[in-house]
Amino acid sequence: MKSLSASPYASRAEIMAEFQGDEAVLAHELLGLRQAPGAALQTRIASLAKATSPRSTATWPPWGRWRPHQRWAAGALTLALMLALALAVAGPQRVLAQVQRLLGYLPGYGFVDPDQTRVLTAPVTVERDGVSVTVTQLIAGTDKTQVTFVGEGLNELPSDPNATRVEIVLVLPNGGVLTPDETRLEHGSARLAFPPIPAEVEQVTLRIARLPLVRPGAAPENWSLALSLRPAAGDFPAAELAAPYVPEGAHSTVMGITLDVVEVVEGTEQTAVTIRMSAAAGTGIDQVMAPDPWGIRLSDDSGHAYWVQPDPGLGSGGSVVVQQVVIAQPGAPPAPAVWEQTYAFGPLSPSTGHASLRLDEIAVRLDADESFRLDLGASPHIGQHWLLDEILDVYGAALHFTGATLVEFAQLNASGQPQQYYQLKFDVAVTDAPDLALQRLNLWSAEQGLFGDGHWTPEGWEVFLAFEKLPHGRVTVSLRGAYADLRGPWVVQWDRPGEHPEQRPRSLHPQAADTHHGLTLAVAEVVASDRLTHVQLAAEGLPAGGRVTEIRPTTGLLGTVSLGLQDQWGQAIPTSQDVRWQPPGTEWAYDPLALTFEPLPPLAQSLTLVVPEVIVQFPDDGSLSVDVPPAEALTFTQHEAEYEVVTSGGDGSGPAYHPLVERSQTWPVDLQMKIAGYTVHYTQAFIEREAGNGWRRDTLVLTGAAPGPDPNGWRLAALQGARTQRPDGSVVTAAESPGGANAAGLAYGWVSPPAPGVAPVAMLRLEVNDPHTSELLSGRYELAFDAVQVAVSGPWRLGWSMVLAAP
Amino acid sequence: MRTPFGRSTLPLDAAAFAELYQAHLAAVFNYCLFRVGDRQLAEDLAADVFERAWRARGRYRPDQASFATWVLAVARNAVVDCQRHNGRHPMVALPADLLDDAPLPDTAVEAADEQARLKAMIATLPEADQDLIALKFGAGLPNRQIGEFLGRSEGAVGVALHRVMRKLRASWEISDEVLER
Repeated sequence: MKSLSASPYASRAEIMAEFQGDEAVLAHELLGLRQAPGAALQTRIASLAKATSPRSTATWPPWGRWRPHQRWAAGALTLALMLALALAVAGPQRVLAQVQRLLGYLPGYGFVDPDQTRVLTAPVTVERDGVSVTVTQLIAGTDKTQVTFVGEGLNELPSDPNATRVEIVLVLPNGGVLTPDETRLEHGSARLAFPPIPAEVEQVTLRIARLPLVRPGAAPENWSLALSLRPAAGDFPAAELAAPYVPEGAHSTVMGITLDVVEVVEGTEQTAVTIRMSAAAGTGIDQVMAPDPWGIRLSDDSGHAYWVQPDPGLGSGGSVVVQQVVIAQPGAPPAPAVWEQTYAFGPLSPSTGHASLRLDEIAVRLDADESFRLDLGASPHIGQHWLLDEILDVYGAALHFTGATLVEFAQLNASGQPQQYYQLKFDVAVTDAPDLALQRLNLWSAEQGLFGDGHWTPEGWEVFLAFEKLPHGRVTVSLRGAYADLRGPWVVQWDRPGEHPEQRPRSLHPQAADTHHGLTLAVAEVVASDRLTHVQLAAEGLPAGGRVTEIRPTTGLLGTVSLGLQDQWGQAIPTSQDVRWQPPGTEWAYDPLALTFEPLPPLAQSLTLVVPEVIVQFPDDGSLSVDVPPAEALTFTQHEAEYEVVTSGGDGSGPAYHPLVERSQTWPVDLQMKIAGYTVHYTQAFIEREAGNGWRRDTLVLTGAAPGPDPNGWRLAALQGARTQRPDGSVVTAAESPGGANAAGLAYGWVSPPAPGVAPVAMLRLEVNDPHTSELLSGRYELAFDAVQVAVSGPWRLGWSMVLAAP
Repeated sequence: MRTPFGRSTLPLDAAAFAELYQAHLAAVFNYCLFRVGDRQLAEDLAADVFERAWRARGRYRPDQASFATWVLAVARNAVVDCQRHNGRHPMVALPADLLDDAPLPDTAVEAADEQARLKAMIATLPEADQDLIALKFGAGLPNRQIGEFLGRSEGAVGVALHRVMRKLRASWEISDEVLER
């Protein structure tokens, strides 16, 4: 993960040090005006982010290069982390105190003391004008009061993604009002965490000024629901209220960073694991970053590997565990950096006695104090180049500065006005250490520099110092810190308490195959355990160099055939989201032909798997030339984006909208390309523009009618760019770019799948900015492609017997 | 973390945004607080700023500005929008009496605590000076980054800050005298 959060802000003491005498008195007073942001604000921001986080409703295109889609995927991850941050407002002391008196863990709520907890006597529903609001749950604990309500009858009413302001309170009998510290909103529904209700209070009123995400006036407002409380003792099933345990000897130290498994709670719905990462003093690590949740691997010795659970929304009792403690250790510098957080995984298999947690990389910020001097001379000029041979060492990684060039550039300042700046752009070869990969550099120059930075790009490292005025004379290039990924792995193993009767997974290799459009799918292996059913498929009849990249959940965009596994009685076995099959000693890699379902029903004897459609990628060459008009010939207006943004999590039923983008006028083109037996014909073009303060991204979009299927009935789905030659002669290639086919500047194209009443469209996107100036770069682009993806429709029906499967 | 293709080309990835949110909230909130003087409004603005930042995070270019600069630019726009909406009236108005040396009523003297005076004096400064004070003492930006934000050199920021402090100090002394009467 990139870590940008080394505080850029001066401490109080640093600010005070800048002033003397009367000014220092005034500075002291001014600093006294500062206030801490309230917990409610932090929560509100987290909920705003959740409510506005975009999530794609479309699963197309399949190529994985649809940038907004990627951002949405990242958004989902962000949500989980932001939610974690929201509850971090409790503060380290409170959380630590909570952990110290652990009495039980309730999925969807967290740690709970049942003797001190009250719940709703019964769900409460109020109905007005066809809309009903039901308070389904209230858990009043010693640390918080969690209220969940669900609105129904809202589906046909207009939604407002901006109506995220929460005006929901709990009113106490004495008139006191509790406002939520944490909110999780869906359309008409919410889960809220209020402060604790005083112990003597037995009845409260939930007041909802307006249902969440519902447009003002679109539904009844000013709801009032009277809620009665009673003691919860005995309400929580013992199986749910699992007790935490502290695993013995569960730690691993690599490169001065110790990974501890501090505590584990095993429930029927979740396994919560609290981990702590701490850097030893003297390592130069001044910050340890939260690991990417997908990089944390929990596994057992039976062959199950467990995913970190995503936030399931309001409809489920599960939840990402939301505790995070960043402990600043007082004491002599350098202070060790510590990060502690609890993650929720799926429940562990009942039949395994050992668990293991692994982290391959940990991102850190490293302190650095390295520098060299460069003499620019008395009157350097733009374009002047200096040869250098300076090597800076960063914990074994080497930065070899071989040259510097003085350039000028214009950038919009914060007032929106263009301003001229100067940069010393360095030629730097970065050699990572075997166990350390540099990600970002903090540079500075004491004499004249404005700021400096170094970061990796698909074109290589960009390292520069910026100046407001033309620099001259001696310049000190100082490296003050660096962000890096430290490579482990850190592996922590522990024994689970209690009895775990061994029940080995059953494995078999049935003879099951089916062929459609010349493509055969066969079942290579089936594994059935108490946690999953793993089906490994194999594909035959692929073109040379071809591979299956995706199994589609339906045929086409709105197909009626769905991916599914069912037993001999037609009982559907749902797909599993929180566990995968990974035998001990094997490395996991994404395999689209590996499918995971829930465990089989006890009497399942024969199974049928239905696969509606697969996406196949194979190599072939094509090329295209396209002209981009000069910027002055383009006029931009706002349009609704073609993609849809959904504003809520959960089941996707929340309000959706199309964001606005700037788009140029459309002009006709006549561009044809033959590739893999298809003829793609683009007939229209326009530029789509995204812009912010000081930057701009222009994307050329070509559209045309989709080519028909090939003689096998395979439909073109996507085109993979391999090389782009820009009008200025610069070239981007997938082969030479570490970004591969995802490198910026490469074209990517796709074809929409068939849908009733909608003609399929071929589309191509290409970023057309000068990578150095961000200006639109007009002229001729030469594009080359080296692979296609095609959609092959089934459905394949694969049936086999499980009777012969011996444990 | 590395992507399957190598290092991430998007420094502002998912986890980074969460980190940044935590790291910059206090600065953004206090910048807004210094600019509008009202805690509730500052909270509203800070929430608005992070919503805007969240929506626009895909556009953030770390190679062109630090996150602090970017998010504070968003905050500044939010403040300007808000003031435009409110007719550019400062949220904390300096009592006219305090400026024109007229004697204050006793009740006003009792109510005018030090912080309220200071807030009121900030509200009477030109907008550019308010911005400087808010960036320096509210957000806590070092002069170098204020320079990046305002498009001025570090030295120029230092000089401007010295001037505005002198100005503020003078107002402070005048109001001291007024209150002592």
